[in-house]
Amino acid sequence: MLKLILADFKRTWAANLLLLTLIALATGFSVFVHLEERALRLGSARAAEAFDLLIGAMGSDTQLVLSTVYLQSAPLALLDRKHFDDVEKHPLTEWAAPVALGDSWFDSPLVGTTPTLLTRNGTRALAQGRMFANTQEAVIGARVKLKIGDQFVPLHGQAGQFDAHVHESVRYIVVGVLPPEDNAWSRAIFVPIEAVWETHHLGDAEHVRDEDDGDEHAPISAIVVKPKSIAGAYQLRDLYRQGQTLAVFPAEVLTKMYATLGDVRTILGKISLAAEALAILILIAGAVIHLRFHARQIAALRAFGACAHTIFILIWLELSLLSMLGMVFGVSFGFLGAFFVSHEISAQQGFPLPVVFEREDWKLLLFLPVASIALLLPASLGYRYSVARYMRDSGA
Amino acid sequence: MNRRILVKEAVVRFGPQTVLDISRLAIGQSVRLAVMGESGSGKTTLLNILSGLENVSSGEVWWGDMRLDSLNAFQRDRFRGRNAGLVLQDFYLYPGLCVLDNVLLPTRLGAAAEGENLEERARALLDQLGLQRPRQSVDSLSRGEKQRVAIARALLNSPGVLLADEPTASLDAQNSAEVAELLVALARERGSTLICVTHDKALAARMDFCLELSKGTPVEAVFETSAGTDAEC
Repeated sequence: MLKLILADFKRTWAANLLLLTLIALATGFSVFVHLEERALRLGSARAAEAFDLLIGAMGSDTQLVLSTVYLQSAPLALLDRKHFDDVEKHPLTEWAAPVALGDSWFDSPLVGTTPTLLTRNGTRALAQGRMFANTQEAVIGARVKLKIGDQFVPLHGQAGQFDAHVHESVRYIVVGVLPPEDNAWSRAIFVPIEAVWETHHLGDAEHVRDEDDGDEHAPISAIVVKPKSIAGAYQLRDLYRQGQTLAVFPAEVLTKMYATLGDVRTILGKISLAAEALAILILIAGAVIHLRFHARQIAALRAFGACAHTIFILIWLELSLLSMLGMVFGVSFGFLGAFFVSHEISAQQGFPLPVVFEREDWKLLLFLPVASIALLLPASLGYRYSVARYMRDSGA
Repeated sequence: MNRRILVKEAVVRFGPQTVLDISRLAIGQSVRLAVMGESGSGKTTLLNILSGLENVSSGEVWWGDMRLDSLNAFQRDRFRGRNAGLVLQDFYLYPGLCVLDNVLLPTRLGAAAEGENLEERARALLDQLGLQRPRQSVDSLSRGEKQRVAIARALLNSPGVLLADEPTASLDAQNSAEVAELLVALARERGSTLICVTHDKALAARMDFCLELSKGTPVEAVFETSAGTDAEC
């Protein structure tokens, strides 16, 4: 029986290959959409895990999260330093750190901050080297393509922006490397926040500051806050949601974003379902054509004593095998595709996008039984072929 | 089993057209009968109702004690698989498979019990028919060789009746003669009834009787020999 199926596949390999490819494409597409959407969701959520509470200037909460958590370059309204001083001293705050964004070195954003953020207030050590000790030193994220001892000149803004220019008089030396992290910050370069202030005040003689004292108007992009408790986190958030500041839990903003994306997800889900339905239809159409092609042989087998039911099972097996193979290829291609695209995005964004199958994915396997049941229809056509008809047609 | 075939008051109609109308035809066991006639005279239809590939519109078809026209299509398939060997003009070999697999295929896919030493019997038959390479693909065979494979397939279950539809029509003269010779010799050797629909006078000459049809009814029955068998019309 297997020999017969193999002989059939071999003889009509081009048509079978086409069918196989179509099924593989349809399943591959839906697997890809499914996995990639999940990867983006999981990856971005994990990347935000390190940030408990973010405080920024009044504006868009989404922009605040995109700029600070994912380091997407975009102009962000600035806060005065005095807000940071207030938060830091607040009794509900475990620790707080300022963040100043805007400069870059090639693909790496430059983040002005304090050692508190990098060591999580002393709870985590650097992977290599030491913390920056003055405004000429920098600590780099694990994915930055520099090493300890390297020197570099930062760019104001991001490469490619119209007003980007090199800060020629500033030169940093790398003194430490952070442990690897699953977020965008692993591709960032960290310098003392004072260095950022200094850089931007250079050439502006009136603003040259006294050594490290409280210029309460020194600008910062955002404040990362680690509250002492969950209740404290909510109180702090409410407290800084008034006036000129904005306080958000990144997870909360992400949830809002996913809700928006959820519609897209539903649409994609429907498209992939339609693709699968199309694949089944193609399979049936292909099967009918395939059987038309073999009708004489099938009819003859019956004439020579083969059992019609056995032939029915044979045809059905052959078609089911084809759809199963197509599905196996499709799932593999979909997985590899999602893996590849995730890898590309990770390389750009700095946080990994996990391509994983979850328990709910068993639904994808429904394609197989549905296809198999649908294929009963064309397979039953085999019953209708009569060799007597072909004998009549061929003369005599 | 009594393998006398009897057709009584058999009429086959396709739509309004009557293609076969036989009041009585009896074919005795081990008889060799040629069925001749113009195209459209109902020769193939007669063969089809004898083999159960088609059923009569009215009338009776008996194989010994079995009334074939009372069976449904699946039952007739099974009955034919067990009791009749079929050789057709266009061979109907399964492409892509080897000679041996082609001989074995219908039986292997059949509902009937396979019997013992199926493959051994197939190889012996092929040998007898002069086909030396059972593993050769049928696609590379000549037409004469293909028809020999078809004959081996028909004979595999040692059927009591061999039914052939124009077995030599698509072959050249030499292959025609050889195939006709083999068909007759093998039927005789097994004591099988042989019914050949044919235009081939040389093949018809090897038969005991010749039945000529015209417009669905017998016009002439030629009784050239009578070797203790009966054929009536």
